[in-house]
Amino acid sequence: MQPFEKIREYSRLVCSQIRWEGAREPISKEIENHIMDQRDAYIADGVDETEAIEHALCQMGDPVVIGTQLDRTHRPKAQWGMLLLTMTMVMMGVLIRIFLLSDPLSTSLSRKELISIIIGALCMLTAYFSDFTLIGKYPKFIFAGIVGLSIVVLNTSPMLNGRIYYAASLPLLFQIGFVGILYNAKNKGYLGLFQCGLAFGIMGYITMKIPSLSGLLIFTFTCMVTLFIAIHREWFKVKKQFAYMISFALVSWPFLLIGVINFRSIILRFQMALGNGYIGTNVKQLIMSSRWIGHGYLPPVESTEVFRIPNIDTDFMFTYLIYNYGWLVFIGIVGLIGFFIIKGFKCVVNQKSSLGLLVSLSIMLTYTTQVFWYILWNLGFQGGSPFTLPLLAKGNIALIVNLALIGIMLSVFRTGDIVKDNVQKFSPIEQFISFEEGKLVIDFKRK
Amino acid sequence: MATDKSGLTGNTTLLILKLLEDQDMYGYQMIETLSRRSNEMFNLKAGTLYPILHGLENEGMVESYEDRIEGERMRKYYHITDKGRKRLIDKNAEWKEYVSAVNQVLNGGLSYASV
Repeated sequence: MQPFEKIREYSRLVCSQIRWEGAREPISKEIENHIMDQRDAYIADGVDETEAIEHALCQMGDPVVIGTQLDRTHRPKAQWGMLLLTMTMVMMGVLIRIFLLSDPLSTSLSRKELISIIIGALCMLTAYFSDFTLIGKYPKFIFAGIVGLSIVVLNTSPMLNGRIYYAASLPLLFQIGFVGILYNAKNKGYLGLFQCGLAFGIMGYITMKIPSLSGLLIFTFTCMVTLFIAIHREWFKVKKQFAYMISFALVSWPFLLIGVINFRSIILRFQMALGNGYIGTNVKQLIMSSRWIGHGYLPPVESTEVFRIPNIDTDFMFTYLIYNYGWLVFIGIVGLIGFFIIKGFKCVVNQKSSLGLLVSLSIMLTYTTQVFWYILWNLGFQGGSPFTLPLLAKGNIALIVNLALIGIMLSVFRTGDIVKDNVQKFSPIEQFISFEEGKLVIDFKRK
Repeated sequence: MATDKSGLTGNTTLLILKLLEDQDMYGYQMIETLSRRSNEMFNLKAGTLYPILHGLENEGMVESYEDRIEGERMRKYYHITDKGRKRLIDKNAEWKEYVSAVNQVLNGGLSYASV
């Protein structure tokens, strides 16, 4: 056996005791490096290589014992609680639609909805057990895949209300493609920044072709936050102030373009949002007439038996629930969603790798933005129609996409601990004067 | 005469955190430094060190990062976090209390602190 093969064999034996396959590679590398350091120390003392390796392996101890101990330390962080919470919200949405909404179309679970829930749950579980680092390893392939899928859908899907029907939920997926490109732009300077700008531009253009203003807003917001965080972490190795300005310009142009082209309709929309529109006025009246518990009241002149807002199960679930069952029901549901958001963001900030952080953050931002926009819309602040209330409101494709995204995020939470950045984050000596191994060290080279 | 090191049991964490207090280190460097600083009293085995280190990392007491050393070879450094520094202070206090209690017994109920 070659000398180095002995080291390999030893680390293989250690790792064979570790049940979590994903944890084996980094441990194997660390163990091999340790043995090589020990071997080098023996060689420096005048021992020949073969003997040095023998001594080094002896120093390590029993590989099976080490492997067993490491196996106890390295277990994937199962996210059954979050998975259960996610599916609870899905089922709660179904039950609310069946039992609490008066819309005759929503009083039973349609076959399509049931299939969507099953497909969505399968997508979530598949993503949950998959390796999220593929996003960082094959960013161009993933980006091209998402763009390719979008082009196919754009050219084959029917139109509904001036929108490409099946493409409406695609923008939710775009940040996965964007984050991969951003992650791989590390240390590429302004070129990396422009690559991100180009990726955003292509996906932003597709979003405008759908067209989906809410999709564009969510995508833009997520991209801007992740870009800014990357810049803050000196991702591009360029001057931060310039980078912030450039990235702001790179991701804000679609809104400027829309603003210039549709200036009049935007003014009109804002006037509607301020209370001049039919739906906006109705929503505000219903909200103002709601009680804490039970059915709301409207002045006799305006009262009517028919709920005066369309698309209750998709766009106005909260307005309906607040008016018909009281604010407490709304607070209860929002409390559950808030719990999911807080738990999610807590896990996001604990991510050790930049890839884990960027992927999970972008998904949490996408989820949270959808929720906030939906709530604002349902309370009468209607700057633009919402995307959906993720997991709860009716929307088959949106449900599948949101569940798949949550699956990816939970995969990050499950296995993110073993993913590392290959960068030196902490300088061993940062102080001008430090105390090391009993000696006072003054670093004159410190900048 | 061989020294009984059973007093060290449970306090390896304290020693590891103390080593990382001054500078970031990799596994082998920790074992070497510990051996040198203790006049070769504590010759920690890699099999003892790594499970503790990885456990500390899971708890957020230390963070790790990789740095390229030569060719494709990467070295994994460990860095103490603020949470780890707090644990170090607590562990240090616990250790002092323990030593004081042992001394008190050895001195027939007389603590060094009160001498």
